[in-house]
Amino acid sequence: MRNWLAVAALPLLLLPAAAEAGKSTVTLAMALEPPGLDPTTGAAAAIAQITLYNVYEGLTRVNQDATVSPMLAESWTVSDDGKTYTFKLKQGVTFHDGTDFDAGDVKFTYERNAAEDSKNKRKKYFTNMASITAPDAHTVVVALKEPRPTFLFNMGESTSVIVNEEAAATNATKPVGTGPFKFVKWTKGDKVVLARDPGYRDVGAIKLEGLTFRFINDQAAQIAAVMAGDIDLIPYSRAAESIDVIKANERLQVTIGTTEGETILSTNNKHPALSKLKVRQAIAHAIDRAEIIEGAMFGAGTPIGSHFAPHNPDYVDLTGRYPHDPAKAKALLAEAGHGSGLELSLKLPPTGYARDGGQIVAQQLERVGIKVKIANVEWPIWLKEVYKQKNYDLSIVSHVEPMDIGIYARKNYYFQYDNADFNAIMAKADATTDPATRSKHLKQAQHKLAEDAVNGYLFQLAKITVKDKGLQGVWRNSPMFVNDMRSVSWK
Amino acid sequence: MATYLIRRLISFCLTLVGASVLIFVMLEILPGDPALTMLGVDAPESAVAALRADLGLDRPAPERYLDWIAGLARGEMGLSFTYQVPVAELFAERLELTVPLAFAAMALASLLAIGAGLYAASRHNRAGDWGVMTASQLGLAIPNFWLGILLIVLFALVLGWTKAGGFPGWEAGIGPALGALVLPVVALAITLASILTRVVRSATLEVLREDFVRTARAKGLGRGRTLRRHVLRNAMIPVVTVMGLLFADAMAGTIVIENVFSLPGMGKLIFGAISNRDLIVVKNAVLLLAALVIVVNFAVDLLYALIDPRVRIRD
Repeated sequence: MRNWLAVAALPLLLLPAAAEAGKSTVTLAMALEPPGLDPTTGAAAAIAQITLYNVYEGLTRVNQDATVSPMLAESWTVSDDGKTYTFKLKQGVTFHDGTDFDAGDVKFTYERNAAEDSKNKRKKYFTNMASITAPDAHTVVVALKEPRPTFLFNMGESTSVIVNEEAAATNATKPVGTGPFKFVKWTKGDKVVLARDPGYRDVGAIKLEGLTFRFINDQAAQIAAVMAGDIDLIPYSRAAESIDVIKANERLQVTIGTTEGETILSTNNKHPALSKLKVRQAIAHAIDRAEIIEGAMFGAGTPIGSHFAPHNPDYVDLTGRYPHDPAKAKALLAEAGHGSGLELSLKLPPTGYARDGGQIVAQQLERVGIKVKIANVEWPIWLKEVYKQKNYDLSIVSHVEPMDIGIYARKNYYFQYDNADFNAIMAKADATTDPATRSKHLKQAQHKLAEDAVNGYLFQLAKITVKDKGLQGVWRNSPMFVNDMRSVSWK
Repeated sequence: MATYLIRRLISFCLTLVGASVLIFVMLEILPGDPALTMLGVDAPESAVAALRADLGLDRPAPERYLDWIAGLARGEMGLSFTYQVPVAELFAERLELTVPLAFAAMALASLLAIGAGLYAASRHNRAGDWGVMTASQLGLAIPNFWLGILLIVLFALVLGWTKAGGFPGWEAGIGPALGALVLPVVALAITLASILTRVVRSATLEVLREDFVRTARAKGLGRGRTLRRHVLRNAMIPVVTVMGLLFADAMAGTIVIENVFSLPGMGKLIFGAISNRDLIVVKNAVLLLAALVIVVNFAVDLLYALIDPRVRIRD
């Protein structure tokens, strides 16, 4: 659908700038409609993109630079062993249904997330809690079984938002939270409408009176809508190829920020040929990251050499470990006994970066003598065949979870890496509460993955935001999936 | 006529049963676990299992099939996996858009096709005929999603007359709601009209060669009146048949058009439901569309009798 978009978009260049009247609402476009609006029971990123920090709040909040600030908690203290967190809660906070927020709601929410029948995708955060006690109505003490260096960050994620018992069962269709915007209506297949809650504790700081999230799956339709002024903001645009067209429009602005999405050539490390280090190194040498970023992302994206986000303070640039070198790749393949050729399958999920990037990667691999059979699959099939059954050789996917280097230590994860040395490094990183020690181990972990060429490391997915120039306060970077609209306003 | 109706009714039910089995089996074969799809890669095994049990996916397939049919017989379609609201309620909201969209596109296509087809036939092998044929060839060649985009670019972006898609809902008033449907209807109707024009033209040409046309003309009836009073009605049988078949195309076209114009109709619902593995929505929606197409074609059969008295007598 890319070529005709380019053709169809040409006349857009002629568009005059539309006048702006004193607007007080914002209409956002999202590609996918969420299945329900309760992030504590549903996993889709679209749920968080609407509700997180707008409708629901957590004890903590994650900022644009991935630092953590207080939200429903006013302050906290941590015990020396990193296992006990004491939160002082804000007072005078109410849910949208009028009930008061207190320590009981925190206890209820966290215990519900840990329950046997919990559908929370981060259930493990909560099953790691040995106890949740409320000494008084505005104090919560959480005791952990194992220390977690990322605990405060985790409590600011969408899966950790605080809900009240009265509304918990119906939050999926009629969300009730403590945030600045309350739910108005959800026209299925079309839009979700939120309005500023006059009872919000800090209502004076909220400039926007309402938010409308419209679901437009087709990229061309999204761009047309923002060009026509029907939409003010596309926070997560996938239309990298339209950047130049949008830039030419006087009324609109494009920003390119970072995400937590490490885009990798996932590799089945148990495949007979791919289990050999030399073959994986050959693939690493065969890959030309610049060509992939240019071809699949129209230049938007940062090359990576390991599984870590470049904007993270602990990041190490390892893109030089196996530089693009087809001759070396061929030599390594020959040494590994595949000099006469090797055939691999490449299963691609339906995202633009995977489908377009896949074509380029296939070509790069063919240049060094690896024959690639591309199979395009839908997400549910990808999840089943690649992720669950590990029935694949290569795939391309963006791992968008924040700080997810730990997945390499997971038993039987779909890369099938299962490396004792790496697991030991991660165990040390997770066991310490000292930031400097943790940083050292995280750097070691990045080196280890790059060295072993576990996967082909391609690029960090960019956050492409398309917005009306009059909008200010929109997040450029995406440390996690969220559209924090509390500080957004019209000029 | 009565036996004919009963026979048709039985075949209608059998077709639906066949369709339901086919749909169910296809969705069973379709790889992809709805629970895993909904919870994503990072969900723990136990959460996925809890959701599977919730959705009733842990029970044997024949049992689930019979449950589905029994539910339909009671008039219940169940709860959507993803939206957690009754499927029937979802359909009711969506059909409010898709049915008018499909029928309006059919009506516009028929109007265009009958006018253009008659005109072309009456100018057989002359400039007018060539013109109509070229236009219909073009209409066939242009995919409707691309035409949709072109219409958006022209009317929403360049001229600024309409919005670039979306639907305000019927509660916003008839005017704005119909306004939002104009471009989608046109985009959908052009392809349909192009096919139908060719059918009208050839059917008309066929009839024009009949003796009674020569007789009518010989006794002094003007060309226009001959076309309207004698030719049109006789040419309608193949045209109505194709219209019935095209209705299925119109319904299928709504899936594409609703996505291009971001209209919250059945097409967009089905599209989303398939990618979310909201199987309960998919199977009921597809069955509903199948039923709708069968009903329309049944209505077409009844129309034959109305158009051509000879059909009535033969039966």
